[in-house]
Amino acid sequence: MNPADTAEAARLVAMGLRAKHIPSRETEYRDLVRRYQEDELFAATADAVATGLGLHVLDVSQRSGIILAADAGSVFEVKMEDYARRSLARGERRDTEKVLHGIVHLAVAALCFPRADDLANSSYVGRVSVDVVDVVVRDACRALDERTAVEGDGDPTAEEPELEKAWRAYVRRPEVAATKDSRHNSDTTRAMISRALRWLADRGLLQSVGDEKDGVFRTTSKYQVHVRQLASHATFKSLLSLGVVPPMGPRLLHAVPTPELP
Amino acid sequence: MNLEDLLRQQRDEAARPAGELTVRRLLHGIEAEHRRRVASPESLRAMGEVHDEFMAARAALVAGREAADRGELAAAAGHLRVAARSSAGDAAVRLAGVLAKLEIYGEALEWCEAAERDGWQEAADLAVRCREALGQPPKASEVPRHALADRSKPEPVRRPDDPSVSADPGLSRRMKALACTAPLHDLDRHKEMLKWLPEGVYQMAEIGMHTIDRIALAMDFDTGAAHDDVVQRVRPFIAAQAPERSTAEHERVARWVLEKLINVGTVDRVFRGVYGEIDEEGAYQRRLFDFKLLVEVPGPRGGIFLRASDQAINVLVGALDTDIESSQVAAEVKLGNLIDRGQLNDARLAAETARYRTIQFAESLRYKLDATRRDVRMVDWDRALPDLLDKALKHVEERFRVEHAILQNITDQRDNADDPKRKRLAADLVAIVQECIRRHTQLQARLVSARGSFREEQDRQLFSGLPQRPALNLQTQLLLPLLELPIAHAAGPSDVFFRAASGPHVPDVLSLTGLVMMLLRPSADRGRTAGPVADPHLDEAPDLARFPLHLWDRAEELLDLPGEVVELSELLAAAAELDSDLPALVALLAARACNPAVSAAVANGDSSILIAVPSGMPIPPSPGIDVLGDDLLLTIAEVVDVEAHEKHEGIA
Repeated sequence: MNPADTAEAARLVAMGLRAKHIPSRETEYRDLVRRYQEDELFAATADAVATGLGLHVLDVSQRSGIILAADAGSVFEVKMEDYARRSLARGERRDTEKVLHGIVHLAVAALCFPRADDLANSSYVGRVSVDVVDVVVRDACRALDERTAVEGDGDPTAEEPELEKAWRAYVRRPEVAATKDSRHNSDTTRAMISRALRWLADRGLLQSVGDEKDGVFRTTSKYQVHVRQLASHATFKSLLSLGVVPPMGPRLLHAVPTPELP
Repeated sequence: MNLEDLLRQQRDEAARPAGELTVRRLLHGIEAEHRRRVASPESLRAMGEVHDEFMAARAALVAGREAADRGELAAAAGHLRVAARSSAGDAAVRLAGVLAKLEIYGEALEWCEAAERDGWQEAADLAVRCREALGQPPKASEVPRHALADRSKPEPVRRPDDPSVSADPGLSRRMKALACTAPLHDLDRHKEMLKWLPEGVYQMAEIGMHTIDRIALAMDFDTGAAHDDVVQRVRPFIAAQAPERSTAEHERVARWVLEKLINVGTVDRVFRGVYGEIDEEGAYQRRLFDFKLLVEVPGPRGGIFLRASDQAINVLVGALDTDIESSQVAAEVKLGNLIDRGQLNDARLAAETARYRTIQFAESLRYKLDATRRDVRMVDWDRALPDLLDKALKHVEERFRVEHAILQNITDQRDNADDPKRKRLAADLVAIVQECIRRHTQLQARLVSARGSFREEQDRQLFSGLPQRPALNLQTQLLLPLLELPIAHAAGPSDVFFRAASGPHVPDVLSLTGLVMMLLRPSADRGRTAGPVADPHLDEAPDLARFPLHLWDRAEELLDLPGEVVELSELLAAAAELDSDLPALVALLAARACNPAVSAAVANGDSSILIAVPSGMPIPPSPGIDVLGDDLLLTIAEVVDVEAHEKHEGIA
């Protein structure tokens, strides 16, 4: 393989780093994707270029182009510290803030792909909006609250605040709050969800549906691939390593949200 | 009537249904009375009191027996309790029997034990039955006799060595309820620190309570009350507390109270209470209790509204029951009563509560249908949802019946009322009840179509082919386990998900062109969200003027000397009489007049100017005048623009 071909392979990887480029809109990109699919040597070169940069190729398709994921420690890695930095400056425990952002992102994915089948089915397009995410997480929290009430494990103890359960932190956070100049406070759950959705849309993982003010987004196949092939498994493993065994197969109502009326 | 008479009467009564049991009871009665007589003090007065008490107890015993014979158990228990407390006859045993029939076993057991100690052997059998019913071991520990006698209201039996005695859930509940009132007390405590507030004018806790009331009243199902509306609604109440203060201050107070109740300034906007509890091992545990009084909720079209929290309503407004069914029933009973008694204003509130409960049913159903649309397996269509549908349908039926009756009742009220105010209230109420009925119709329509949408979704989701590849269920397998983890542990998995699901991040590379573009970029639109806004604290600008304004006026009056020449020392003496600070100002103005700013005066178009020349003599020292130096002769000179003047002369 000559240097010109290597340059082409590197160009394909570079295309993958541009958030909103898709093959159907660019002839060059389309050709590169086709070459990746047909030419094994070219594909291997592109994979090698990616690996050298600290990336790995998750998927290459005509629909969403080359989908890359950053390896741990590479310059392309997104860090929660950077994402949550804005809020961290204002006191409150660092962990709580980060966990809340993580919960929000996971909940967005869970609402985009409500069933395992939806996540598996490549042609499925999910829809998500701020309201639904917040309502569903709050109801899940309420179900957990009811369960702890039944089990007799009441309020958290005052001595060990770090053992407070994650859902309590979420419930405690207000849904919305007005600032003194009548804008929305950014530390509320809805503002966090809205930020997560816009952030994902900026990276080409979600697309806004209709007017942006409505706050309704639909999923892209890029997001589905990220969640399905990487994020869900990595999180599952991380939970297993903590000794949490997530239930296999669907759980029925008792596990989840049904808002028994307040 | 003396004691002997009483005893004889008792004997006569007791003797009627003859038999061994009656005789023994009689003997016990006499014995008990004998003990009482021996124990009582010698004085006749005290004896009289004992007689009266005994008489009352006897009467109660007789009434209790009769009531028990007639089968009125509750009334009998009341009478017998009075009698048994004075140990009258066999009251204790009879009371225990009645209570056991009423299934109040705890109290019954106490009286059995008391009766046993008094020698009533037949109480023992009853006691065993009570213990069985209470699930206690057959031999319970002794309850001290004096404790029982002193008790005005018998309580359920508790073993004093049981650690759960202090782990009474009622205690925690009450401590929590008490904690909810703390923010209101804090209002009055913190008002002392507000500099802009006059002392002791406003009762902040009252205003706080009133604010919560207004918000609870304004709460509809979908929204709540907007901040500004609340301020406007509360303002008249504040104005009534301090009519002489300004409207702006009233509004400021309303806003301050509102912010304190929302707990603005904290990230979570919660109030936190700590209470103690004794756990299963008997150890004392401090627990945290978070609560909110006012919560901000999103309204339609991005607005923010206020609602009173459940805690606030339960503790502070007083709607104590949050269970739908029972509070619906309670509200309805209340409504009926209020209408009967003509208190329509309260009836309106009750009707609104009833409507709120109804909408909750509809909302619960809507939520479950939405969840079904996402994933049928998330909702229990096997038992829970059919139950809900049946319950809701029954509820709708019931409400239709009740509310049509109420509607008829208040329509009559409205038509027959003479008082225009009541007529209007009744008319409002008619509108509310009609709205309730409309809501029920809506709910009923949804109930009818619910099963249909379940079947459709089931067809779509479960019979639409097998999944192509295995995947995780994000909500049940990842989100829920994550929510259940403690914060410290949850940080890891949530971070992993975030990093993996966000795609690669292209770091910003700094280049000169990029930097220039960034600097030239017009400022972005104001974002829709913002962090807390700090209210800048502005200090009053200090008044740096050496002399206050009124002294300047005085000085100008003194120095207004048209056509006369005055010595400075004279003026100083006159000034010292007016104000102790005035001579200094006059002296300074006079000194400036030594070198009058003539060109400035011409430029300004002034017609006259103060001028001064030294008189050659020092200012004579005198008390109150702290000015030293040459004395000056002062006068007012006319300012004439020479060129213009000459021109004018020339033309003339």
